[in-house]
Amino acid sequence: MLKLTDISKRLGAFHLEQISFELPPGYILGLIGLNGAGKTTLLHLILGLYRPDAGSLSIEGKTYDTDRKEILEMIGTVLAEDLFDGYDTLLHNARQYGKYYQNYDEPLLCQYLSRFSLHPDKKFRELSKGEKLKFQFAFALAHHPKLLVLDEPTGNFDPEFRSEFFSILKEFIADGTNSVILASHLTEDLDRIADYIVYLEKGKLLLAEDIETMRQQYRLLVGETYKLKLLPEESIIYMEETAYGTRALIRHRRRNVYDRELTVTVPSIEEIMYFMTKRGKGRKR
Amino acid sequence: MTKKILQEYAGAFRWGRIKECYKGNNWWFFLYSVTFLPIMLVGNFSRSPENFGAYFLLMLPVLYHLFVLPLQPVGLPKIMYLCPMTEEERKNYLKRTLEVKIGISLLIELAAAAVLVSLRRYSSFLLLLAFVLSIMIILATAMQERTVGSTGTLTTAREWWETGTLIVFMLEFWVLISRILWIETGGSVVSAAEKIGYTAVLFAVDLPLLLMVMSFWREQLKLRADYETAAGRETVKNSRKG
Repeated sequence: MLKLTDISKRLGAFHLEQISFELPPGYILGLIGLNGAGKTTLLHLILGLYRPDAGSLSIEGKTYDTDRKEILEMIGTVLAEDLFDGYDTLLHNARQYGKYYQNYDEPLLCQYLSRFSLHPDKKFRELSKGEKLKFQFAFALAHHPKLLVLDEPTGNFDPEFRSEFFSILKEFIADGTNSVILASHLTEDLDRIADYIVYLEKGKLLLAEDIETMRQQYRLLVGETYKLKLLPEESIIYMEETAYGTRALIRHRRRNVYDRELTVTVPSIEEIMYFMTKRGKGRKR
Repeated sequence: MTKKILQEYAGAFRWGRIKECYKGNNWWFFLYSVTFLPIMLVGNFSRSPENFGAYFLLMLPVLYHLFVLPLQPVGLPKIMYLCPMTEEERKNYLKRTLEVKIGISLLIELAAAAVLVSLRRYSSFLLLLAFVLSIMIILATAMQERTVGSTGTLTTAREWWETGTLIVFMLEFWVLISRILWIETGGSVVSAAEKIGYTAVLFAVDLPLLLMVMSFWREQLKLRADYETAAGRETVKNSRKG
């Protein structure tokens, strides 16, 4: 579905460096990273808003240089900013921009609006932040895209809608032909739904793996410092001593056997992100 | 496409949007200094309220254009860069936007000239000259929306140059039109030599600047059709958002 090969982009002092990953159809990719990591720049590249300085990007085998219109036809977008005309109604906004899409489906839009409890005659500016994102989401789905690009929408959704949002995403990828890229700070959401994780830090790709591999590859160990220090140095990603004990994220191999007194758990995405970020700031052993 | 652009044009005249658009920039000061102040000066030697009215009527479309300039930027909202369009289609859309927005101001100017023609008090030479000069001001003004119109500040040499161009056109309008009004309302006619002189000024000053304005827009349409260059130049304003 989506293939990035050595994509680089310089924007002022910020540099996104040699990003490569693939997203097959039928999967959800979680894009994570701290503020300023380059998530939005990467999404802008995927959406064709920015041109890469180097590398190649293709969606369904098509590139922006030759098939821009076809690619944009396939993408549905939800961005953190207000994309629509605030002084127009939802329905008019959707008609205004929907006419550029060959597959724009107004009855489907109205179905989603009703499902999200949004009135089509309401003006866009009268919506709350969460409702504006719901409308963007409805519009993105209404032209039958193959790839949804979603930039941090879940933070503004109430818990009830968040669970509906995830079930729609699951419906969307269910037939195995569509994919989703979901950038989010809320890693517990990605733990629930993502199949792949791409983790950026200061413009660099720190991790691009499927979530099952990640779960098999990493372990979080908690226990006495001296016992953790006995582990092979190359397997420790980051070790942290706190008042309550010492924790370490380690690269796990199936044959690894750990000291019985150490607590061994499969780390969450948030824990992996935390330790990897710490490692980036300097190894502490 | 034209219908959508006209809808957008009409849609910009909402009180909330106008307030939002002019808040925080010193466009009003700019508007005052380049138009109202000279109008008042001209008023002092226009001999009669009728002449001042005529001058004001000729300036009205220019004032209108200056007023709507920050409200009607020639740019695309971000969503248009996400819609399935080729760069050429976006460029054509921008070109049509420019034509419609300038065209409306020119139509208003034409209507003002038609009113004065119907009064039969002023020579066709005066009206023609005023019409041509107004067109030049409107065209030059159209270049300002990304500089003075957007932030109220001039930072680069190019912005100073573009604003300078507008001031040249405005000065030309004030000097030439006031002079002809002065002659004609004094009961004289503008001599043939003077007419040739004014025409020569038009060719010497306005033609090169017209070419410059055209080249400016050719480059701008290309830049604004691409999100990266358009966003870098802050051409897409937030005035359309709620």
